[in-house]
Amino acid sequence: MSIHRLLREPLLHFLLIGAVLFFLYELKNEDDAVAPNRIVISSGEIEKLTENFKRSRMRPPSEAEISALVDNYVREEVFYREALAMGLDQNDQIVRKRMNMKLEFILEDLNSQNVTDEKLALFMEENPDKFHMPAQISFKQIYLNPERRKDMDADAKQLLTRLADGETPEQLGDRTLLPFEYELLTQSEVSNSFGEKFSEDIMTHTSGKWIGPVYSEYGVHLVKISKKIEERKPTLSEIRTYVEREYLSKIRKEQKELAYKSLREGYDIIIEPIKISQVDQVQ
Amino acid sequence: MKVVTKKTITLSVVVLMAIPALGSDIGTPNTEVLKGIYPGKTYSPYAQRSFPSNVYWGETHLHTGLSLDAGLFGNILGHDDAYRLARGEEIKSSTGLPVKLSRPLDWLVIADHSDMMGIATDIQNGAPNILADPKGKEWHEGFKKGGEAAGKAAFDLITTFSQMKLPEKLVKDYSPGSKVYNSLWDKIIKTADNYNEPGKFTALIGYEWTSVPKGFNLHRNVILRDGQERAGQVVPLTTQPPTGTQDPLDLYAWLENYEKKTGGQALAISHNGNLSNGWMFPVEDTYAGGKVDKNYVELRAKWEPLYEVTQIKGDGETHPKLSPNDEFADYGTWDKGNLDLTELKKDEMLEREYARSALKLGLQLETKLGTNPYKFGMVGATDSHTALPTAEEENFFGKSVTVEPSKTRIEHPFIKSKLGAIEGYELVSSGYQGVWAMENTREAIFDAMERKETYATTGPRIPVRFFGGWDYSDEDLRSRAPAFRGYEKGVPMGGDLSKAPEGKKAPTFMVYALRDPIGANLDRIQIVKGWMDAKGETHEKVYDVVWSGDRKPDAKGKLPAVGNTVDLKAANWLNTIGASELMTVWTDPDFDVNEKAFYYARVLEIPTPTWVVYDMVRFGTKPPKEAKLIHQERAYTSPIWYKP
Repeated sequence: MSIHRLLREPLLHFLLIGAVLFFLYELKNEDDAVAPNRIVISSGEIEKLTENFKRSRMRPPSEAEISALVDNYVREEVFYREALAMGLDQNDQIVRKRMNMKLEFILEDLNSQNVTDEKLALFMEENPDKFHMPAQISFKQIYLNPERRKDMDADAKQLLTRLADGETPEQLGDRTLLPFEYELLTQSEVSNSFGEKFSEDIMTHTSGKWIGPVYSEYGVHLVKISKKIEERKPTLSEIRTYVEREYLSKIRKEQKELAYKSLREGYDIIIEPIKISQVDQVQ
Repeated sequence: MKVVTKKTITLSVVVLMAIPALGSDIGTPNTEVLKGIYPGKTYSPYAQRSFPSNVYWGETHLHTGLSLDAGLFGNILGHDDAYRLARGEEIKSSTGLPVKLSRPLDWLVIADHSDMMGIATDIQNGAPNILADPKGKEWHEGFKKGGEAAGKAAFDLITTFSQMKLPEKLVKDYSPGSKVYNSLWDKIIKTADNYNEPGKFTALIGYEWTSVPKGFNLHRNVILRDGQERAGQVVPLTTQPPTGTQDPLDLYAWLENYEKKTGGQALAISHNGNLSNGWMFPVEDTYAGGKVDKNYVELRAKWEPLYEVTQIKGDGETHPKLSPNDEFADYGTWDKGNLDLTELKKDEMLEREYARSALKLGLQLETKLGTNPYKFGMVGATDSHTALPTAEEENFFGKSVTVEPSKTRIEHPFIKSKLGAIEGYELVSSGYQGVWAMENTREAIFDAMERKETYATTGPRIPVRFFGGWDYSDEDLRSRAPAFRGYEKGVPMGGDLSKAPEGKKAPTFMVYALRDPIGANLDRIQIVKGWMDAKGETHEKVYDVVWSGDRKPDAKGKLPAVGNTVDLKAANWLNTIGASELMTVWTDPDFDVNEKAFYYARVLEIPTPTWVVYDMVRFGTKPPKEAKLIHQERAYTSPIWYKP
């Protein structure tokens, strides 16, 4: 085989290219990682470890504990590096989740700033339902227990007459765990204690005299509304904390989505067709 | 006289419930009676009230996606979502299902696992450093503008970050462990402060110290009374050595140091003794290698005023083998082994796992060591890992995201090992905690927990009052608001009775309960008594003290069952049996002044369908025959202790 022929041999080309690559790789390695297998525990690192310990245990670590902290750190670092080198961070659900979580937090924090009254006021305008203040009522109630009465409606009527005649309400009716007096509740709060029907019913009345019978989940009640604040639109200063919380939460969500969209645009995303066999046919 | 008639009625509750309707007796005001009802008080009984008149509902044990295990199971919800749901908003679960609570909760403790909480996040605190850098300044401006510009800035920042092109100074500032990088804990605190609205909704700051050596569940939830200013001075205690520890004595030291360092207050609540394989309530040695000595019992009593007695991973009031004479003892029983089923249960472990038995052991330890370490009040919580505190049967979102509502969820075993399995249908949709507090604030709720004026339910919001004293009478119950008498003449749940006053032979207990306004009627109220005799042996007895209808106990004293109206095909029941309200004054018939004792009330609902039945109806699920379909939900009050 002549030199000339040898030079045209593809195998030689491969070998040469390989040698060059190998040489370049070695060069690069020497450049980048000065000592790939060195772990330095700087005094700053030790400071950090003891600081973390102190924050959690609220006391400084003992000498034995510091050396345990350092040993543990070294061990972690060795395993961590080896694991990374083996590519164990790939296709790991925990790692993926954790990385996602960190990025999401960073994104959220980046955007939670610069709130002005103008922005909040505008946000309130745009979401009237969200910040609407429902009507509130204060009322007193007298309870009639159906398990102890034959004709509750008649009893209720009789009681109403007596109340109108000026009898003291506190001692009328049947005993109950339900409080006698309620202060400034919304309809849904009333509903939580008495059920929906009762709450709808009493919201239609205005303050003044004793009314009834009003039916609840427990039986019959006589009710006197002592105060009613009609539904209204609150001012910003009344509910600023709430508006700000809602506003920021919306902004955070939006910004996260925007960031996702922009980042996604940087990728070619190829999704192969979904096979019929992959779909749950039952549903 | 009519008043007299009423008096006689209340003498016996059986009669009370059976009495024919008294059409004409709608409360004649009688000066004699009125005078007796509010002695020494201003006429209006509602003025100057100095005791809690409201029960506030919440739970102390919710995990969100920030708990590593919850996150792994697919939980993508955070603290914001959890608070929103608790406050009554509709949100989307991690599996995309819309979810809303039947009623808002009044308060909530999110208790994510403290281990692995040290995730680095908050870049915003580095603003001064960002601004010092031209690139950083550009981003900052972008964020300020908001909208598109902010989105672009975020994108730019991330790509710069990921290409390692950030200015060196910024890289240093934002590397984990540096000062700028705040921990997740700070974020948790901030969010809690953000959602905490005194008077409306209380967000207590807490975490779970997940001590689980060898799968023995010895977890504690830590609850702080304080906000950012104090909670922000510390970070939670973890369990992984060398920084963390599994020894409860170290937890007590943490709590002690927290109070000393910050001037705040903290307490801890343990849970799931049923999965501790005999280690939750030790009497000789602790699992951490310590002794149950004077130091241990004092510290435990000081820092653990409450015990979580019911939750999704089983109900821990008592076990049928511990209480063979208690026909309602077998409720939500999980007794196969420890938390990961690596060790099976043995009968001798049970005694040191369940609340009632621990209350008894506490009496003995008190005699031996001078302090009762197991003098705890009752708490119900979910331990849900879905960020959704759902404890109601018809709205049960499961233990983790993987078992949120679906047709197949009952088929997935919750735990499976070589030794056995705890099946999906065995999850218990439980529980909530009722707190009798002066107002709905962090301070008031926490203080009520410290004085044990709280109780557990398996989900329904049953208002329950329980008082102990020496001379409650039926007349006290006649009062329109018996609580006045309750506080005036005795102590509420969680309190102590000591030496009987002259002429008093036995303690009296005033107990009353109202059914959940949207729930099932009540079957009965029972009082559970535990005591220690002269020989140092302990005993227990369950008394039926008031019940619905005209049932009569048989010759052996057993009360007939209330009946059953459950319709399994419709997942429904009828309130045609049971009572909407039950109340009585009960005197201990077997009292011995020389024997120390505890008493707590157990309120039983009429039978209702379990969550499994709702799955059957909504999904067409076919559960195996072992699955519990009908149960009687309940409330457990904190005990009242008697010490001679």
